[in-house]
Order: sequence, then structure tokens, then C-alpha cells
Amino acid sequence: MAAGVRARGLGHRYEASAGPLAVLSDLDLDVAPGEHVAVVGRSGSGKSTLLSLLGGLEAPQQGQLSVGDHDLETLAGDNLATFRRETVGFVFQHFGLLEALTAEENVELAGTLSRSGRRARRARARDLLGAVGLGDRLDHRPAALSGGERQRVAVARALANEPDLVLADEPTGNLDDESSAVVGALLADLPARHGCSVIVVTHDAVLAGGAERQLALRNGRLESPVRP
Amino acid sequence: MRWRDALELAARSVLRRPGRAALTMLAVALATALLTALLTIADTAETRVLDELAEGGPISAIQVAAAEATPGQVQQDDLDAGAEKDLDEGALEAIRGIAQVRAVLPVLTTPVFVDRPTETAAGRPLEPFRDEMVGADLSRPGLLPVTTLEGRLPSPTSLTEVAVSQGYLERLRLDATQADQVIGTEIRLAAGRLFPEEGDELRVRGRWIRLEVVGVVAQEAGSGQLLVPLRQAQIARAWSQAGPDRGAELGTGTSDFTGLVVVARGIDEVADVRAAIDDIGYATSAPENVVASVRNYLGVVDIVLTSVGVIALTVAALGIANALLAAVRERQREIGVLKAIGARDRDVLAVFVVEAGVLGFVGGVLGTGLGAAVAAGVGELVNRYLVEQGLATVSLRLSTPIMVGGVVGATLLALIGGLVPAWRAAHLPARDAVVGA
Repeated sequence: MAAGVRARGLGHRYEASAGPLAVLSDLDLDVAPGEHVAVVGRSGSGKSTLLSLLGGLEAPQQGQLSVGDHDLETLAGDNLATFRRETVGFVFQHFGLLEALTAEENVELAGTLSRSGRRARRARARDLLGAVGLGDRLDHRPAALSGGERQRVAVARALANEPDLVLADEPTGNLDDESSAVVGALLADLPARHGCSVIVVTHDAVLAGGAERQLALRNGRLESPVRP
Repeated sequence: MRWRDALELAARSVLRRPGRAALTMLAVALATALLTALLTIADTAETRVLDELAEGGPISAIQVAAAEATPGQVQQDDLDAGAEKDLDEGALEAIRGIAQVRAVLPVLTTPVFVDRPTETAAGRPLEPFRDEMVGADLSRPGLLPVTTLEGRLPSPTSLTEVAVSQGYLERLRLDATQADQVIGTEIRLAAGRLFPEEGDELRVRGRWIRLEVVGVVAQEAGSGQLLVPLRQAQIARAWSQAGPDRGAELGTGTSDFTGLVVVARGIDEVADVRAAIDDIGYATSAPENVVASVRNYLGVVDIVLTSVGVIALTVAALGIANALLAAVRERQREIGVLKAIGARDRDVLAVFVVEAGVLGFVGGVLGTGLGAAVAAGVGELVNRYLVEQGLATVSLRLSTPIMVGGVVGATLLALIGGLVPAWRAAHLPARDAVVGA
């Protein structure tokens, strides 16, 4: 079931050698369940930080943030890990596949962490890889796959635990145009096909154009609609 | 994450970097091999030294003489016999009834004349000589203070076989390395008996027998150069005692047995058994004080050798720690991805700890095998030396505790070595790990 996202007064800063660097400042965000949103912005504008906060990779320093029924500022430790495992699916620019595992095993990994039975998680991995057009690449390791194929494996893995929210961080950043189009189509199709919300941060105008709504991150805040 | 899944993931990681894994396991294997070989050699050396102290027999053997105990006898290792006192079946049964006694083996020594061979190995004439025939229960040779240097012991029921001591070799002007030359040769010997002649004259006549030499031994069961089954000595003595003086002139004595070899259930029981035999009234001897002292010294040697091995294992564990720390740095992004898809800190910890355990276990197994091979090689060299010196060879024993200890020790140290890198991996902030590298 798709999860909505609600952020109020979200703030985040990093300690830099020149002093504290505010990346997000008093940021508000609302994403409806099942919505596909693209966040664009310059490098260093805080897009990846926003995604990390939404995905529970780090705790918000300021403000309130909720994903579905989860208030992220109250989660920590194993609860945060459970949130990431059960509620969120990540797609990274660098694919984030484990080189030692095959495509099928990489997708299975999410099920392994949630202690699913081997047979069930394998069947799920095969279904998902088949759905992203890699049914004939199950036994291939990442090194034997093209960039586009690796990213499709990553999308399949993000869906393995039936997440409510898929977060994609520059998913086409390392892909050629053709592969970008395939991955973009896959992501755009997720809400309808898998019933999840999707938030993509990207530089890629084509990818962003496939979203229902585009938001621009400037000066630590989100602006909508996107100005050219 | 289940342990089985962590093991599978760890195994994949190890196999993905075969070169590094092989080098790490080699370090563990070499250290384990060193420890295993040192402990095996030390264990065998200890057994050998203690056996030597016990004159080839079990170190818990006590020799009982056909004599009364003197006051304070049980406090000293050497025999301090009082007046003669017959050792008969009753005494044997009484001693056998002591709770801590494992076995009682009777020994009977009786005088004989030897007139063959007539020549030494060098072809020089050999005068007939008088000696003692030592009869012992050879059905359980492992319990007797007897070491076979060449050939074998006589069959326990044979009346045609004999084993000779090194003293016999010396009589033939042979040294220990030439012991094989007497195997298969024949000895003619006789038990004597006095026969009355006309008037008051007495004449010694012998009951002659021929025995085949089947072995050369070092033995302390009794004072004599000829070791035979007990029955053979009993027959010879019965012949001697059938004379009018009941063998007194020839020195056969009246005791059923001239001594007993009493084997206690363990070295720690020796003192109690000696005290019990003392209470029964017989003099005893046992190298318990010497054995205790030597055991103390050997304990120190054990500690030193074990320390060397443990230091080697510790170095190997540091090698594992170093390799895993490098792996953590290298796999920072992988760790981040694991966390991003829901791995808890303890899941990441488990993967790295198991990986260290796998490296340690495989290295430990390989090392234990290698250590056994090294110990066997050293044993081969030692045995060559012992044979050259005319001494009994040793059998290197790779004991189960050493094998299990080698593998378990290597695994445990590897786990300890892997804890810090695993802890570091588990506590990497998720975002830093994803963005890093």
C-alpha cells in the first residue's frame, strides 16, 4: 500500500571545516500516496540529503517527518532498520549491487534480511527480474551486466519487500539515453503496477518530466512548480 | 538475517577475493600448523622421556621385590629391601585386590647356564656363562618395563623363543645398531640340579633346551639377559628345585615369584598403591619422584612451546583483523547498501564475524593437517637418530585434543581478530556508507 510523505520545517546541516553548512532549511513537503514526484536541483542543493532523510538513512535534525504511519524523528536503531526494510525501497545512482552475488541473489537479499523463506524470496526475485526484462539474466553477476541492466536489477531489488515508497537517487546518472528511458519508464510505472509512491531526485530533465509533479530544491527549500 | 544466510554471504565475499582470502588463511594455517606440530612433538617427547624413566614400561608401574619393606621405603624411588620374604599366589592376590591397581604381572628369575653360541659375531670363542633367565607374563607386554629394540617379544606361550638384552649383545661384542644380527640365532642353555653321587658327592646336571632369539629388548623386569615367557622360567626352576637341596645351592630361592610388576591406574595413584603394598609387607620401587620432577620441567617446556604457537596464532589473528579492516574500507558502499535495504547493525556484524570465522576455521583445518605432517616429518628424523643410537623408536601421536584445539583455537582467535573490523562495519552510519567510497 502506497505511503504518503509529510515533512514540516525539516532542517539539516553538516559540519564542514569552514563551519556548519545548512543543507535543508525549514523544508515542507507533501507527497500523496501513490504519487510520482521528481525533485530537481543543482549539485549540492541537498537532494540526496532529502532522500536520505526520507529513507531513514539518517535522522532529521530539525522538524517533523512522517512516511505513512511512521514518524521518522522517533525511530532509531532496529526500528529504523525495520522501516527501511519494510517501507522503503532504494535505487542508487551507483546501482548498489553486491558484486559477489548474481542478479537473482541481489534481489533476494532484501528478502534474506526480512528472513523470508528461501523458496518464497527466490520466486519473488524471479518474478521481479522477469518484470524488468531480465528473466534471462538471473545468474549473471553485476560485472556481466550493462549499466541499464544493473539499474533494472536495482529497481527489482527495491521492490522485493513490496515497499510503500520507492526512493531513487539519480537513477539514470550513469546510464546512456536508451537505458535511461527504460529505467525512467519502469519507475514511472511503479505506482500503477506496484501501488507505491515514488520520489526521484535527478538532474535528468527527461526523467523528471515523467513524474506527475516536479519540485525544485533551492536554498534548502522546495519550490513548485519548477521554474525553467 | 539468519546465521545460515550470513554464512552464505560471508562465503561469497571470501570467494570473491580469493587471493586475499588465500593469503589470510595461509597465515592462519601456518600458525596453526606451528602450534599443532609443537604440541604434538612436546606431547610425544614427554611420553618418551617418562617412558625412559620407567625403563620402557608404563610410568605408573611399580616393582615389588620378594623382600620385606624397610621403614620409609615408600618415600624413595629406589628399592630398599629388607629381609627376604616369599612372594606367593596369596600375596599376588592381595596386591591385585588393591583398588587402584590396574594389573599385576608376576616375574620369576632363575639361574641358567648358557653354552651356545660358542663364538662371538666376530668369530672369537665365547666361554659358557652363567646368567639369569627372566620369566614374565608376556601376554600384556605394554604393561611391562620392557622396550623392544629389534625383532619382537617371545610369544606368551612359547617354550622355544627368547629375547635377549643389550648385555647379551655386548657379550657377543655387538653394539645396539647390530641387534638384527642375533635375530634368528640359537641359544642353548640349561637349568641346573644337584644330583647325589656315590658317597657324599653332589653333581650338577642340566636340563638343556634350545631357544631361538626372536628379539632384542631393554628390560628391567628382572636382572638377566634372557627374557622368556613365565612358564618357561617356572619349568626351569621346578627342575632346579627338584634336587636334594631344593635349588638352594644354585640360588633359585623359595619364592613363587622373584618380583611383581604392579601397574597402577594412573601416575597419580602410584603413591597410594605403594603405600598399600607396603602395608601388605613388601618392598617396592617406582620412579615416581623422578617422574614428578621431570613432569614439572616438561610442563615448563609445554608452556614455552604453547606460548610460541599462541603468539603465532595471535599474529595470524592480527593478519585477519588487518585483512578485514581493509575489506571494511573497500566494502563501505556495500555495507551502506545492506543498511539501506534494511540490514540491522547486528546483521552487518554477523556477516563480518562469520567471514572471520570462516577464514579461521578453514585455516585451522588446513593448519592442523599441515602440523600433523610436519610433526610426522620431525618424528621420522628423530626415529632415524634413535635407531642409530640403538634406542626404541617413537610413535608421534596427534591427539584428538590437539587437533580439536588447533581448529577451535584458530577459529576463536580469528573471531576475536574480526570483532573490531566487524564492529566498525556494523556501526558505519548508513548514509556515510552509501555515499562514501
